[in-house]
Amino acid sequence: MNERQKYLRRVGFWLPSRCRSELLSGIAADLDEHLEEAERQSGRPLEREEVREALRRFGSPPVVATRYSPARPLVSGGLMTVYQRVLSVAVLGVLLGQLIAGLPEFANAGVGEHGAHLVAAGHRAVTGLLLAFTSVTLVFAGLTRIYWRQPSI
Amino acid sequence: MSERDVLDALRQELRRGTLVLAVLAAFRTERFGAEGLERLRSAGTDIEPGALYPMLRRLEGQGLLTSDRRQEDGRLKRFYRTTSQGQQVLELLRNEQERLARSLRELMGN
Repeated sequence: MNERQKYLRRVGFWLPSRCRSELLSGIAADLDEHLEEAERQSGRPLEREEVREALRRFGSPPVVATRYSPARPLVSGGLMTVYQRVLSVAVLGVLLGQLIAGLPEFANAGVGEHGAHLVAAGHRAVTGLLLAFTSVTLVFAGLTRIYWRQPSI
Repeated sequence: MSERDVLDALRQELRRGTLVLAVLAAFRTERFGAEGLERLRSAGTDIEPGALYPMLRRLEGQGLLTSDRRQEDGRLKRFYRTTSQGQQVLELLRNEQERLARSLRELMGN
């Protein structure tokens, strides 16, 4: 596998699977043009190091993949402040809820049962935090899709 | 974030908006990607090839550029040209950019 193929494989890794092959063929055509131009400027076939340098100038694979990808951001930049605020309120709510629900249990626990109660509370808190994060993110992802076409978002 | 990082980020943000303008202007004459890159660089607009090529495809998707893939010097190249819609957008953006520049000059007291 030559440097070009390795580079394209790395770019392909970061592309969305549903349109990977279509995007990759466009990127390969552009990359070939870029490499041919580098070759034309040097006046001879490029050495391996020169190919690497030309590929480096084309951009790092994840950045190139992002530039070609039609994917929209999950949460729009315009909604980010609200998203972060809602997420922190949700996280705080989960932690407070666990504290309020767990304190009486913990206080009434018998000798040697405190550890088990702490582990159970920790487990519930982690589950609650994951649920809060997922649901808030899904709601904002939905809002981003709905309002994407509005210039203020 | 250091002062230099802040400046770099702001410079990047400022450039991003004007790059489309520069690309639409450079491709009023039909060119292939590398040729356009040279034209932009010679005019003082430095842009990575990995940023220009996807921008050309995006602008083509928006109907602001049109492309034709054909052989030149025995090599297959994609030639781009700004469409009439692209020229209209370029004119509108240029007016907007001039309005902003005037506003800035006034705010800076020149």
